[in-house]
Amino acid sequence: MTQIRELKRKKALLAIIFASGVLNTQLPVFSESETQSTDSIIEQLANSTTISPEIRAYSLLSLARSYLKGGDRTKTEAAFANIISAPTHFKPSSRWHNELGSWANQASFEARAASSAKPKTELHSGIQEISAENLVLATEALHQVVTHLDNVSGTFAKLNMYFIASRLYKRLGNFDEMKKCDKVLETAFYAAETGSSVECEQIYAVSSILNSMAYGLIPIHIADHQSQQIATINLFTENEFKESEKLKLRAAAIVDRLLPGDHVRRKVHRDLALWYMKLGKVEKAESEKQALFKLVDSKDEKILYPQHGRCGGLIWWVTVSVFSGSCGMG
Amino acid sequence: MSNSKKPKLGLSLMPTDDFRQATDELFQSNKVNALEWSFDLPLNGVAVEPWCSELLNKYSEANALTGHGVNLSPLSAQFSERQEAWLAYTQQEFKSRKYVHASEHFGFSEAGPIAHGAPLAVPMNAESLHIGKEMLKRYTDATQCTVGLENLAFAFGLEDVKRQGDFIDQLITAVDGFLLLDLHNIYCQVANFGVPELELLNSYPLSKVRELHLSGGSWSASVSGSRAAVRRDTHDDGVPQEVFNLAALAPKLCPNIEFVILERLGNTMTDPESQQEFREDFETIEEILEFSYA
Repeated sequence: MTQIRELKRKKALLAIIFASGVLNTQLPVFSESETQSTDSIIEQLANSTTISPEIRAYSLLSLARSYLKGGDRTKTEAAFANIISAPTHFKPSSRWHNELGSWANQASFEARAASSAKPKTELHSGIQEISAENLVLATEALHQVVTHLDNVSGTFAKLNMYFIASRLYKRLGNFDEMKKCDKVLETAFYAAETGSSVECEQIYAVSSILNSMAYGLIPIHIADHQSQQIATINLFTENEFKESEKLKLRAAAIVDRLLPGDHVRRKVHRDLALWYMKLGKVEKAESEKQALFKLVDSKDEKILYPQHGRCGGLIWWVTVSVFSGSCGMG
Repeated sequence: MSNSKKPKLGLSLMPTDDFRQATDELFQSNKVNALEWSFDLPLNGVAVEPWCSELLNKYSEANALTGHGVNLSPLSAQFSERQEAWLAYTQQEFKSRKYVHASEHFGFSEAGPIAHGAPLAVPMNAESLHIGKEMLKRYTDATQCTVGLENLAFAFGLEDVKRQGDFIDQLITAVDGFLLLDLHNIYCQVANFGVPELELLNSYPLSKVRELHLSGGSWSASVSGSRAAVRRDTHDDGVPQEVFNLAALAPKLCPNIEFVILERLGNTMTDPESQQEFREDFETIEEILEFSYA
């Protein structure tokens, strides 16, 4: 023990104790993490003082989704308990916004699919098979999400989580709570459209949500990279197209409040052009492409697709080749 | 305690200003005993400034420079012209500088338009084994030194996790090579698949571990919703406690470690706090090694 006492760094000390424990005993090394709380995992997440409001809301939202998904509840709850035992590990990454946007797309699609009379596909995660207990737990987790959402800093995260909560409520058939979330979103949409001084992040958030709503109607993904095959999609009704287009045009009008050089503004128009193309709406695609060319001040088709940057990063809106280093991650 | 000789503790060199700022103090105080260089970075247009070249030459002369390839994609299904050019470049680089050994990543990292992604596992069958062995032989020929493979962070499923160690063993045995055990990648699989760390470590050929990597990473949302989050080896944060724990465990299990390398991606520690964190991570590893090899 003399040597252990000489270790100056707490992390080194903990590591040495860990290693000794793993090799010398069958008992759990960190007994404190094994302690069972009598509180439910929802209560533990809601009441934990060590996790940030963002992670709290996000975790509860993820937990609600997991309850709706079904499966082994014990395993699910154990996974979420890790967030409480190691809160510093669960912090928003640089990809946080992309991840929330993808989840919002999926939630939008699943909510519509679950309430649709169309035959279910494997992607359609209906809630028919979920146990009553899981439905109660999902509802409880969602209530906690909404309770904590106002404390979340960052408009993008907050509004996207309201949207995801709204779609999960819809799947649960809890339309009163869904409408409460939708009201928050409509207020944000209106502010982004008419406010005299709107922050960029609010515009980014509402345009992303409007596009997620459109994805719920016609679930096609516009990839960043150029596909080897350009396939047009025709599995949608004209009414679905009109509704979806209306949402996308609303998003495009909102991002047009940003400066021409703003990446999100350009990306929304670029995705819209490719969306029209994918749906076989050639004239509309061409018109939207011209609008993008004007924004970028280039008529080179290359700008529709990015170049590779560091570590899987992308370099947009340039036509000349840009060199970048690899990241070396394993 | 381990009876082995204490490994050299070093850094993965990043040709960026933040790395230089963060590590200057460590280099000045002669705490950095080894240097690892991703020697194929210049192939991607990365400029090697004089301060980097000076460090590379200094460690090369001191027999303390290790090479770590990133873009070979050793288990790609077809031997491409790009790989051939990569090997030709590598051959020149290893003629111009003396490296102790050379490593690469298990798996493949190019498919369609994706040429710089994190490496992914291949189907672990006889064909992949043959392809991998052939490529390791080419790598050995090009470098004229001992080559090794690094374990992956990603896996497509639990079966991949369980089989990776044995498959890598078969690959490196063909060239009398070594295992570069990336402890953060082990942690990723522990976190993502719930495998006990000791069980996972023991599935690797631990006597063939010549080098350890330590780094940080990040959590991403789980698309399936079946878990709270997915741990990824993104090298953009400090070393988590779990990886330090593995670093304390490794010397007891791996008798032949020669190098321990701390990695962090360039341009991810531009503020003084993260630079300080990086130095503290280095010193924590130093302390763990001092204790483990006392």
